[in-house]
This record gives sequence, structure tokens and C-alpha cells, in this order.
Amino acid sequence: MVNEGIPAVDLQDVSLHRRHRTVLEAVSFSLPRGAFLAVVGPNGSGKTSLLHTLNGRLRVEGRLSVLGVDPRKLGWHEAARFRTRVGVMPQTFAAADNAEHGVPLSALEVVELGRTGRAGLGRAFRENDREISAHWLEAVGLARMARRPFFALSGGEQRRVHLARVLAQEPELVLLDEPASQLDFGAQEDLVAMVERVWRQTGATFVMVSHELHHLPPGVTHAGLLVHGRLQDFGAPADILSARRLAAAYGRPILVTVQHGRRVATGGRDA
Amino acid sequence: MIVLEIKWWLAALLGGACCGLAGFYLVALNLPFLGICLAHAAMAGGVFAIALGLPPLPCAVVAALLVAAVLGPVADRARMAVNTLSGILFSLTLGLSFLGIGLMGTARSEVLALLWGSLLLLRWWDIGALVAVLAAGLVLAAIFSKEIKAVLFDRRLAWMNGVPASAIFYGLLIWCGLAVTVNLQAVGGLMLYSLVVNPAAAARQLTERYDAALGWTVAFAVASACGGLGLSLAAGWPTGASIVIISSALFAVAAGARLLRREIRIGAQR
Repeated sequence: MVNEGIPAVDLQDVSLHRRHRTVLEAVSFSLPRGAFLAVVGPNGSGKTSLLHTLNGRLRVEGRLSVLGVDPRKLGWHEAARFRTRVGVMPQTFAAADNAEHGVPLSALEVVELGRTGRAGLGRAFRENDREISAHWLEAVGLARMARRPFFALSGGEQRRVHLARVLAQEPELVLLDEPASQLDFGAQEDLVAMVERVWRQTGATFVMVSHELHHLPPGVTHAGLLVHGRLQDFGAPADILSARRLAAAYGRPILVTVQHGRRVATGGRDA
Repeated sequence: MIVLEIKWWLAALLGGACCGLAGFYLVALNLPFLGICLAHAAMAGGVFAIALGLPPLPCAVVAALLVAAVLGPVADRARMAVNTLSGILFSLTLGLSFLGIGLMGTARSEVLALLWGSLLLLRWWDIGALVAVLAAGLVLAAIFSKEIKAVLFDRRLAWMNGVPASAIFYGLLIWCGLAVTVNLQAVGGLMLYSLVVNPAAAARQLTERYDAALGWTVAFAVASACGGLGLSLAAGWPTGASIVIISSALFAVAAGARLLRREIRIGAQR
């Protein structure tokens, strides 16, 4: 299934218009397999829509190839199979709004949900599915909480369980939508380090969107700057995530410092 | 008389199990109001069937299935919360029920049975329908257990994991519609909601485990239905009202047990 010669993601002039509004405009970039792309941009710049384009949720215009296929051209069955190859960690979860009366699952059961598509429709989980789920729960440091009710976990622990769920899917492409947002400092640091570690461990292609530079792991290989639906810049992180380009994107002076390989942006002063 | 009572107890047992399973799904989906909406759609279908001289159960099934089948896709396309649309359809179907009764001029016993529930009018055909719907629900729950669990937890995540989430979701709504409808005759449209929601809510007071919550929900629903029947026979009260009293009492006991357990835990920590 994996073809090393074909890029993980290849977009040419991809646009999305919704209710007379341009969400994405002529977005073009190519990402090799195993790369880690960080997409940065202000709120409402189309970052989440870009992720939804890559997992086939949004019907966009233009040329689109994800893991060698165009998700828009897949039939019902093929589309479901395609989605098992793409792991998604959304920014928000419907289950979080229904914690009191929602489905009472343990941390391990939530991770196992990641195996649902892989296991096949109407087929029970095999031992292998359970072993993979337990492995990834252990990899995110929560093996001792496997039987703990999911909703009894802290916000940071729930995010780690969701990361384990995505990885249990054994995806070739992982899409992370602001995974460290709304977490305290310690939980943010843990999650950033964990994301980089599992990226190296799995060899999968990662695409992570964020508007916080310090949420990006130091190992990021590619960076893109998305502004008003346009991919303003794309290339090496050192070039793209510079104070000059970020200042142009956000329309205000920005100071970027690099500490231990990670960038931190703070408001700068007008020259 | 004994045969008659066997029929009643069977109806309580099977109907309780049906409503318990449906309630577990609807409460987990955070759509408890959908239960009342389906019950009233079935009631409207039944009332109009009686008014037109048609058999009430098939018409009630058609009405509930129509609402269940339309509700999910329409809510998705209109970007509207299913609970909001349920509220609109609930008031519409309740209005249609009373319109049907009004057009008949006089409330017949069959119509009153649809409103309040009556075991006297229960036929073996109704028991057969209960068996069929419960068997279908159990078979589907066994085959698609992991897909149902994924959709109940988070429909969007389930879709992202490669599960045909909308098909499973709409299938659940339709089955819940059927489960509610086949209980209409015994419990009554106005009371059915308590048998759907109370047992699931009571079960969640006692456990944080999926399998245990499912088991407790069905057990509470069966206990409510059978207990309600027993109370009805002993006190001569209407069945639907007796079931509501028992299911509400079970919820109160479960909520009390949870509070007591919490107090004991806090006391032990001190």
C-alpha cells in the first residue's frame, strides 16, 4: 500500500469556497513521506479546513493527492478504508460536551476505538487489536490508567489518550489540530515531546496546525504559513517561521527566539 | 386468565428490555428528547389509524420510522441540533394526535390506550412484534458492537476512524423508533418516555463502565416494566402510570446510592 515514490500529500491550486467566503485559495504544496509539516497562521486562516481537506471531509476544487489517492474520487467503501490510513486528532471532541451522560468508556477502550475501522465492519476486535491499543497507551505513559474512566482523566491525560487512539489506528498520515491548546504548561510540554517522539518512532507523515510556535516540536521538517486561506510561505522552518514573515502574516511586529531548537514568538516593538 | 397474565408479563419483560436498550443509546447520544419525539410520532400514527379504521400498530410504526429516518439526515443537512428538531417534531406530532382525537369527536378506548397504555387491548400480535424488534436489536448490537460504541462515544471521531458513522447513527435512530413504537400499546405514548430515559439515567448513577451501564439500564427497564405491571395489577392503577412510578423510584434509589457512596468515600479519605 505504501509507495515511497509518491508524496504523502500533493496539493495543486486547492481552493474551498463556502457561503460566498473563500476558506482556502489556490493552496499548493507537496510533502514527502515521513515529513513533519507545521502549519501556522492566525485564527480563521483556514488551518482546520486544510486538515479536513486532507482527510477527505471537505469537497475542494483543484488537484489533490493524499497517500497517492484523491479522496474525492473514492466510493463509499474505499473512502472508509482511506480514512483508516489517516489518523486525525481534532481540536475539540463532541464527547467532552457529554461527559456526564456520555458513553462510559475506560482509557483503553477509547484507544481501542482507533482500531474500529482497521478491524473491519461487523468484525470483533482480535487479540492483535487489543495488544496494539495497549502498546500505544503505554507509549503515551498512561498504561497504569488503562481501566480508569476516560472522563475521570485530566484534560492533558485525555489528549494523550486521544493521541494513543490516533496511533493505534497505525496511520500513514497523522493530522493534529492544535493538540496542545487549552492545556497547562506541564501538559503542553509533555504533549509536544510525545508528538515528536511518536513521529520518529512511527515514521508516519505528520501535519500539525497551531497558532502557537512553542507548541511545535523542534524536529519539524517543513513549515507553512497560512493567511486568509492562502499558503503565503512554505519551506524549511528556519526560513518560514522567521520574525519578518510572521510579522507580515499577523500584521504586527513579532520577536522570535529559538530555545533548545523550539521557537517562541512574542510581541515585538515597532522599529 | 393465566394465559392473559402470561401475555402481560411477557409484554413487560420484552418491552422493558427494548426500552432499556433504546434508552441506553439515546442517553449516550445525548438525545433523550428524541425518545419522547418518537413516542409521540408513533402515537399520532396510531390515533390517525384508528380514526381512519386502519390497524394502529403498523401505522404507528410507519409514523415513528418516518420521524426517525427523517430526523437524522435533516438535522445533519440543516446543521441543526437533533434535540432542537426533536422538539419541533414533538410538538407537531402531539398536535396531530390531539387533532386526530378531536376529529373523531369522542375518545375511544383504543385511543386512550395509546395515550395511557392498556394491557387489556394487548394482542399476541403485539407480543410477536416485541420479540421481533428486541431480537433485531440484540443481533445488531452483537454484530456492530464496536461500531455502535464508537458512534455513541463521538460520531465524528468514528467517521474519521473509517466507521460508516452516519449509517450506524441513522440505523440506531430507526431501531429506537421501532422499540418505542412496539411498546406504545402497553405503556402509552405519554408515559413511554420515562421507561426510555429513567433506567439509563439510573444506571449512570451506579457505574462508569460501558458493559455494566448497558446491563444495569436493561435490568432497570425490565424491573420498571415488570414492577409497574405488578403494581398495576395489585392496586388497579393504570399500567403506564405505575411504570413511571417504579422507574422514577429506581432512579431516586440509584441517585441516593451514588450520593451515599460518595459520602462514604469522602469520609474514608478524612
